Amino acid sequence: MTSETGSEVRFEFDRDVLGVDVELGSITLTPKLIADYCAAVAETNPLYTDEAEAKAGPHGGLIAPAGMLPSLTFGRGGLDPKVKFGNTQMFAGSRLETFAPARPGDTITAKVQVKEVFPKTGRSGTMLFIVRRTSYYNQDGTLVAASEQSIVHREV
Amino acid sequence: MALHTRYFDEIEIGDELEEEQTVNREDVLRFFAMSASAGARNGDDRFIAEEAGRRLGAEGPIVPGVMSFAMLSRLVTDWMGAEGHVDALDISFRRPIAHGDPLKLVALATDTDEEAGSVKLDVYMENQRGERPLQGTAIIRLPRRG
Repeated sequence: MTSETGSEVRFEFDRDVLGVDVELGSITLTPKLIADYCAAVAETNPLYTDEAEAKAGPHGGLIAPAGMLPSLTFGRGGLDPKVKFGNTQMFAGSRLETFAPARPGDTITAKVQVKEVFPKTGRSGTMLFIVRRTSYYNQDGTLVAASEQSIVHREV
Repeated sequence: MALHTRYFDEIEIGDELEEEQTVNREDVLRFFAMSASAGARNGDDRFIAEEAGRRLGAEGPIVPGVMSFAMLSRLVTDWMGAEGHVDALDISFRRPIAHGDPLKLVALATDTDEEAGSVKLDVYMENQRGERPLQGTAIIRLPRRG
């Protein structure tokens, strides 16, 4: 464990977890899973929902919505940085990068790492941020997307 | 909705797309059923239970951040058309969204990068009190005409 002191902020976490990828296993993007996702977020774009129209479109068939992959791995954080700070945690930020389309039938393997742990002091006091980066690869090993999720720990 | 293509050459700063959506308990349960079937872990009862949501300062159970993020990514892909590409979508969560809050989802072009063929969007959700519980930016690449 490391103890950090910086402008009167003290917190502890396990520095050894930083940057270490953990595989979360694989998920096959079945047409049902894609349809269930679309129904849950009111997605009606034919690129993702209408096989005939999608076939005539730029991808030659249906693809998975860009925002879908982070929904499938939410809450699976990989290694635990064992942060000792505050008494509650909340979602603070989310970033998505896409690189290649994911298609129905693709098997996606996700890897997650703790990218950063840092404190920030604002109007509501000091908060501690944990940023996890998840990378999504298809069955050919192509990186199709990556997401970063920041969780804030604080005292309420 | 039909497939449409939006071209970089036609973008004007201020081009906007606005959608409206209200998320109810049934929507959250449907979202959780989908994500859990893929192995996601959906956290505690703040998304389902009245009391747990109130402890966070909301009027009741709240909409999961991963779900509201998915709604904004839908807005961005609607805005960009069939041949657009999402380079990045970056969103901050500033306050909770309660179930039943009428939400306005807005994407607004604020800048273009001629060399990259990309457009920067301001993206946010606004509730009935004029607050913006989610706010951020997107970078989208679009095809050129000809």
